[in-house]
Formats: sequence, structure tokens, C-alpha cells
Amino acid sequence: MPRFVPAVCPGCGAGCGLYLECREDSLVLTAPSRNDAVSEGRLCVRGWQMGDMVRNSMRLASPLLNGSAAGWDDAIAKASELLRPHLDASESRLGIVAASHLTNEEGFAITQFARRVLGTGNIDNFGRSVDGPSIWGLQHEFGHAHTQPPLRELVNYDVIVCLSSNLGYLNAQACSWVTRAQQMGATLAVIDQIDDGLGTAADIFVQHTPAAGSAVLQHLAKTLDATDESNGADELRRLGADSLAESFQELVEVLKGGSRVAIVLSTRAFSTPFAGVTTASLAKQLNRLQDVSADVFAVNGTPNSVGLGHMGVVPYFTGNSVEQRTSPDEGCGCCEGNGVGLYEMLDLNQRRLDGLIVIGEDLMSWLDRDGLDELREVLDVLIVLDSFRTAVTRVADVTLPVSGFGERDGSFSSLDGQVRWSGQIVEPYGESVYLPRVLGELAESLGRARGPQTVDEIWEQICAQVPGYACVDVSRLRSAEDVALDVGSLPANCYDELEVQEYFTPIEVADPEEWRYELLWRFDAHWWIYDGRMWSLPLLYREMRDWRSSHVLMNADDMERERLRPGRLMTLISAKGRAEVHVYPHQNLPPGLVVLPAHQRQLMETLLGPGRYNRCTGGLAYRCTPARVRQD
Amino acid sequence: MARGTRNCVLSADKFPEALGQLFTLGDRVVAPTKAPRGDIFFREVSSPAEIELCYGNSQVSPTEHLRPPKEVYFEYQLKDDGPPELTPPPPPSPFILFGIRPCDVAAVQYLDHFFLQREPADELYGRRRKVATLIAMACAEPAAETCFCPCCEGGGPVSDGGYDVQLTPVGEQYLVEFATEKGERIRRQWESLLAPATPEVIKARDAQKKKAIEELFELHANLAAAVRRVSARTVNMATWQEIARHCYSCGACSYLCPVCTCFDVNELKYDEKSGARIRQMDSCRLFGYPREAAGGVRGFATPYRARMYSYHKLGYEHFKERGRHGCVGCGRCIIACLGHMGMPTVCELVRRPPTEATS
Repeated sequence: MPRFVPAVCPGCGAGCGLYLECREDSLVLTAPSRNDAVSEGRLCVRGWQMGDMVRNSMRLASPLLNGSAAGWDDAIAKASELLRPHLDASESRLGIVAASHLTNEEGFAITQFARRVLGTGNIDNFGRSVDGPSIWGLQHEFGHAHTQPPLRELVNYDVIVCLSSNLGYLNAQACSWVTRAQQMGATLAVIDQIDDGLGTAADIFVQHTPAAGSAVLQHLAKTLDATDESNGADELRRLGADSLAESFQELVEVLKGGSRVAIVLSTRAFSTPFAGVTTASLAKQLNRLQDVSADVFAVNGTPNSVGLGHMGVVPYFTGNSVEQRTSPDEGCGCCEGNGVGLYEMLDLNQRRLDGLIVIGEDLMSWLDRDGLDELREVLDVLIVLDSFRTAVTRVADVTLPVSGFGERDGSFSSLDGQVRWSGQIVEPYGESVYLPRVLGELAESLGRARGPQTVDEIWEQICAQVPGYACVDVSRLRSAEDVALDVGSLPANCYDELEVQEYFTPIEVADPEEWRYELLWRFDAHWWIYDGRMWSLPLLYREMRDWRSSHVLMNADDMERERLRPGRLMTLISAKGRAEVHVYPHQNLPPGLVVLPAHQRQLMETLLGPGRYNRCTGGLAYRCTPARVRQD
Repeated sequence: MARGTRNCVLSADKFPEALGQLFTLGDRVVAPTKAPRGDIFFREVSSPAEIELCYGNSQVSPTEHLRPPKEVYFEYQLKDDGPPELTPPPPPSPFILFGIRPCDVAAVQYLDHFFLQREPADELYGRRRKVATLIAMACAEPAAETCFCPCCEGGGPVSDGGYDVQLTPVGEQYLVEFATEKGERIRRQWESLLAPATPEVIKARDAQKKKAIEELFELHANLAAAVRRVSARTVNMATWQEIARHCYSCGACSYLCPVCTCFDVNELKYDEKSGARIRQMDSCRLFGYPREAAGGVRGFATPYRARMYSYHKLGYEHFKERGRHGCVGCGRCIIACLGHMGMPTVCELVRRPPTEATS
């Protein structure tokens, strides 16, 4: 086993190259790589601490049966016994939810297992639902084969328009390039409802009404269109406070000034296809102006949702194999498909599934504690394959430990059309086994073929079957070279069900003074707990677990005025409903906002009303509402 | 030049043989190597062929072999019938750190003071330091465009002390300085390859050093002026806020700084019955640095953390205690900072009048 290998950080979608090292005392370290094309020697706090993800006290050492340690043979036998009755149903009621930090090879094995062994199209990955929708919207406008320039190109632009201020913790590498561009003289404009870091650094900060981001982009494109003579003053007032008008006008002048413009779209913060479409429209409008050229950089928050999409860890295909997605012209055939996506699989009201296999994902990113218990009740079978003990392993029938980051070779694909290699530095922890081998064991115990078991066997099939990957030479990947995909051959998305419509429609209330807060949903509002020190990882999970029982975040001054104490219960009343919630202060929130972290599905339904789900993109969006608070 | 130093000359054509002889001493050899992506790291090698001789500044300081970013205090095994069994890590075997640059030699001097010359001395550092032989490779020119060692107290492309052996390339030969007992052991090994150093060679080395400092280093950091401002506490909060504006709290400046010394102590569980107590580098730039035992973090926002970091690097109190600044001019923070705020930029900002910093 080599003691020092190049790897790709699975912390976010940037894909920073780093080195993993294992010393005599078996501790795993990370080191930066200055020659890496993405990071150039810079890592964020997660990258620096990735060695702790390889070895830490939360690792799963052996299989579990109903939460108790068991042997591999018993665990596999139990899993196949539970799955077998569901295999031959005419309509599959089994599903797979996979994490987006898995490698392409693992993704391919999962797809094969779902289609060939379970016979189901109910398969999805985490990143598709949170980062996918806006990328979907961009591709709708630019075409599926469009790839963006590498992030390092940002330094060559004169104006950077950042859609969302949370880049610093969502994708610090992208934020670093934005900062560099600004230091080299570019004008930085940030459009967001709150300042999550980058707003303070911006030359122009367009702070708008909650959830009006896409509407601001739409209005911006309209204002830049010389043929449109409508008066935008009323629209501006609708989109934000009076202060918005000044910064908005300033941005318009800068954009008209004649320059190279980069629009940086934070895909998780703007998680709707509409955001992608409006961003692309803005870029197109800018390109129509004289002496202005614009490009869009989508900044992905999830590590390998791109590659997993290519490998078929997505629902809705008519057949049960990736071979069906042969050419871009044929589309994906999803609309008449037989699979459902992540949100539908976890929708407790619809009860679509009898059995669920969860791979590498903590479902509490989607459901609060009560939701998870309820899901457990409606499922006959819950099987988990993970490297860590999570909230889901606690309630699973069978848990199988699989190797994680640094414990297997594998590749990741990025939005700029590159495949990158991440090496193995240590043997799998405890009794953990490489994921495709575990799926092979399960398949065999169910009387099916094992499928490819090793990285090289899997790559043979990827090259033969996955469009766009035939050109990838694995030996080049293994020697730490980045290899470009044949992007023109990649499978096209289906846009038939894409709802290109505005999500922002303000809800009118009779007494705005009383309803003085705006209730806003947001992904990843909890990341700031992680402070880069090893023991804060368990702390993060512990606090998230506590918080997961109905909580919101507020501005500290607002909390003081309302006499609310951190961690205590309050009544939150929205235009749609009311709920008892715990409240915590958040350092970056401006006054007047209550942020509802987006994993609390039941709470969101109660307080924000039903979400708007898009089957095609897998995204779910909610309207914001006015709210008031009451101390209990 | 360190006191008691013996100067010799090694011609360039005998250099490979000298390198080979290091492997016959029985010590492990840690030297610059090229990683798969071409980055330079100091790693243990088993033959001269593995050593990269054309190298700039290494990605991570070789001081990581004296003070690893993570190391084990002891491993424990819980017993059913008695107290846990504690096993300390085995003592490190002797090693030669070959090719260490002068900035990192200066860092070792700082670390020696911090870990060994105060009470209580740090045992883990001490036992590694005791078995390490430092063979420095002086720089005829800046090792990287980010180097600014001449701006630092006692720094420069050629070390004045702190090494056991120092090689300085001068034309077609190396001036070799043996400064310690450990160095004398190397000299005996190389004896047949060496010739006495002439005053001309030493003069040529001094002229080369002077030229490098005056003409070749393009990056300048007015550390002395920054030290005056920081020590007089005349840097206002607006300046720290300006620095913090570009800080992503990633900790890279600390993790790569060869003189940063903070660490955190943790438990690492192997399984239900065994584990280890480890320590790992910590950084005052991290949000959780002031976290208390109860789990809470006292108000310690990014500007205050930026100020604390700078005080430790540039404050006169620390200079008085350690005999040198907490910056050796290696420039690694310039490369690693996500906000592109290396030490030279920090120095420039703290020297600005308050009104400019706030603009």
C-alpha cells in the first residue's frame, strides 16, 4: 500500500486535488498540491481535515443487525431474505438513495444493482435534488453538451456577479478565485437575500427580498434589454427595500460598461430550474450588448453529482439499464419512466416504497427525527450501506460497512467535463468492504449475477456503456492526470416537464407591522458549526441531531428584542400555519429573517405550505411567507 | 557563520557520491522528493535516485518531520480486569533531514526554543529533534517567487546557524559548513571527498548571498515596520476587519507555517476497547479555536482571530521571548491562503494609516 497518494477532496463540488498520507502510526494526513489544476495549493477547512474522515470515532466497524454487531454472512443472508419477497413485484416498490460523494465506479455498480438485481428505476443521488435543478435549467438554455470554463479562469473577467453570498463555505475554492479576481481589479457584485460572507466583500451588494433572487435576475436582464421600455421602478420596489434600487442601478451601469462578465451561480442556494434559466437568459442578454461578453460558472456544492448522473444514479428511465440512454437526440425517456426520485421516495404521504436501500447518506439531511421514525414505520425493509454510524443505521434492519474516502481507488467527474482520480491510502476500516463487492455479494445471495467487482472491471464496462466515457484512459487517471470527457456524447436531460416559471409571489398580509418577519427556507444553514477541528465533527452531528427536532435560526438582535433565548422553544406563526420550534442565533442573518434549515420537511410543509416539486429535475421549492414569533 | 564551524569544499562531481554515502550511516534519510503531481515533499528515501535535486520550496515545511501535524501520545487497550494498558509510540530512529532550506532551519531554531527551552520541555518533539541531523541546502537564488526570507529577522538565503551541516552551491562546487557534533559525524564520512575551503570560496559565497538579497528577491515584506505598528498596538480594528474580510478560516496559514506551534489533544477510538490519545495541529484562525470544554465558543470573531495570529507572528513580546519573529519568510502562507492574504500583504495592511485601511 503506498504511503502517499494523490486524491480528490470529496468535501464539495470543487474537486480540489490533495495528497493523502499515512504514517507509521496509521494516522491519515492531508497535504495540498500546488500543481493541482483546481486548487493550486489551496484547501478549505474541510479539505485540510479530510484525513479525519478516513479515521475517526464514528466509523462503522462491522455489520449490524437491528443495531447490534453481526457477522457478514448473517447480515447478507438477512438482507437477501428481506429483499427477496419484493423482487418479482410487477411494479417495483424498492428504492435506492445514494450519497453524492460516491465515486463513478461505485455509482455504476449501484445502477447495475438497481436495474439488474432489484429491477427498479427508483434510484437517486442527493446532489441531483439540491444542486441539480439549477444546472438543469442552465442546460435547458445552453444545451446539454455545454461545459463551463475551469474556475481558475475567473481571474480573467472584469466583472464577477455572484448569485448568493454563501460561496465561502459552500465551495471555498470558487470563492477564492472570486476573491483573487477582485484583488486583480475585477468588480464584484453579489446578489442575495442575506449576507452569508461574500456580501461584505462585494463592491456592489444587491440585497433583495427573500426568495426574489431569480426575479431580480429576470428584472436585470429586462433592464439591460434596450428594446424593453417598461418602467422597472415598481418591480424594484417589489423585489426589495428602497436600498435595492441604488445598488441595482449601480450594477446595471457596471454591466453596461463594456467588459467580460462572469456570472457565478451557487447551485445550492438557487436550487430551482428557474434560477438556471434566468441566469442563462441574463448571460445571453449581456452577450447581446456591445463590447460585453458573459459566461456562467455553476458552482456545485456536492462532490460527484455530475459523475453519478452520468453513471445513471438518477430515476425515470424507461428501461432498467444505462444503455438505453444512447444518444442526445433520443432524450432520456424519463417522462414515461418507471422510477421515482429522492423526494418521492421519502414522501411519507405517498408511501411509494416498501423497501429502501440507503448508501452513504444520512437521511436526516431530509427528514427530522420524527420523520425518520415515521419512515421506518412505513418501510418493510431498510438496509444501509455506509462507512459511518448515522441516524439511519440506528433504525436500519441491516447495516453493511463499506469502505470510504481514502480506502478505495475511484474517480470523480466535474462540471467542466474532467474526470479526476482519487487514490487509496489505507485498508478499509474494520470489516468494511468495497461497495461494489458488497452489492455483488447481495446479488449472488439473491440468485443474480455479481456484476463487475473491481475498479478495472467496472471501468471496462463504463467505457463500453456510458456515453461520453469511451475516451477515458484509466491508466492516465491512475497517474494523477485529469482526463477530459467527450461532452458531446453525454446523455441529454429531458426538459419536457421543466417548469420555467417564477417561484416568487409575495403573500399579502393585513398587518405588515405585526407580521414583521420573513420565513425563508435554506439548505446547509448548519455548516458553520463545523470549525475545522477533529472533535467538532462529532459535535456537528450531535448538535445537528439536537437541532433537527424543529429549529429555526434568527438574527441575534431580533432574538433579544423578542426576548428569545438560544435553544429555547417559541411559537412560530406563518401565513400558512404554526409550530413550536427551537430558535438559535446565526451570526450572518440580517434583522427580519427567520431561516428554516431545509431538512425539516414536515415543518416546512406546516409553515410554508406544500412545496412545488419538479419530477424531471428532482428539485423541490417552497414559497417564503411572512411570519411572527411568540415566546412560550 | 556559526561559531566553531569547519568549512570545506565539495566539488559538484563528487556530490552524488557524498549523497550515496549518507545511506551507509545507518540513519533513515528524509529528503526532497517529487510527488505524483510534481509537488515537492520531504519524504523518507532509500536511495539517492529518489531525491529530487532541482527543487524550489517544498509544499509543506520539512519541520513536519520534527513536529508532525498529527501524532500519537499513547495507545490504550481497555482491560476487563484492571486498569487500561497504555502503550507509548516506539522511539523514533535516527534520521538525516537532507536539503532543508535556510527558512526552515530558522523555523527549527524557533521550534527548539518553543518546545525545548521552556519548562516543561515537550517530550515528543524532543526525542525526534535529538535523533535528527539537519543538512541544510542554502539558496543561491530565491527558491520560489513567494520567498521573502531576507525581510525576516536573522533570515536570508544562507543560514547563520541552526544546522548541523550546510551546503551552499558556489559555482561548480559546494561550500560545506559542519557546525555540530552531528555534523562532524557527516564530515568524517565525507572526509575523502572534501577539500579545505579557501577564503576565495567564502568570499564568493558572501558575494552571492549579497547579490541574491539585493537583486534577486522580488517580494518584499516590511516586517520590521509591521512589528513596530503591531507592538505599539496602533493597528485599529478596521485593519483587522479588512484582513478578516478575506479570511475563510481554513487554517492553512497555520498548518503550513513552519513556526506555528498550537495543537489540540483528542481521543481517537479504534474500536470499543482500544484507541489512542493523539495531538494534532490547531489554528487560531479556526472558528472553534476558543471552544470551551462545555462545547460553547466565546465571542471571538474573525477579525480578533486575525489579530491574534498577527500578534503571535509580529508582536515584540514574542520576539523578546523567542529571539526572533514568528515568521521566517518561507512564503507558504501566500500560496495556501484562500483569501490571497499572505504575510507580506498583512504587513502592508498593518502599516497603512487607519483611514486607508478602512477605505
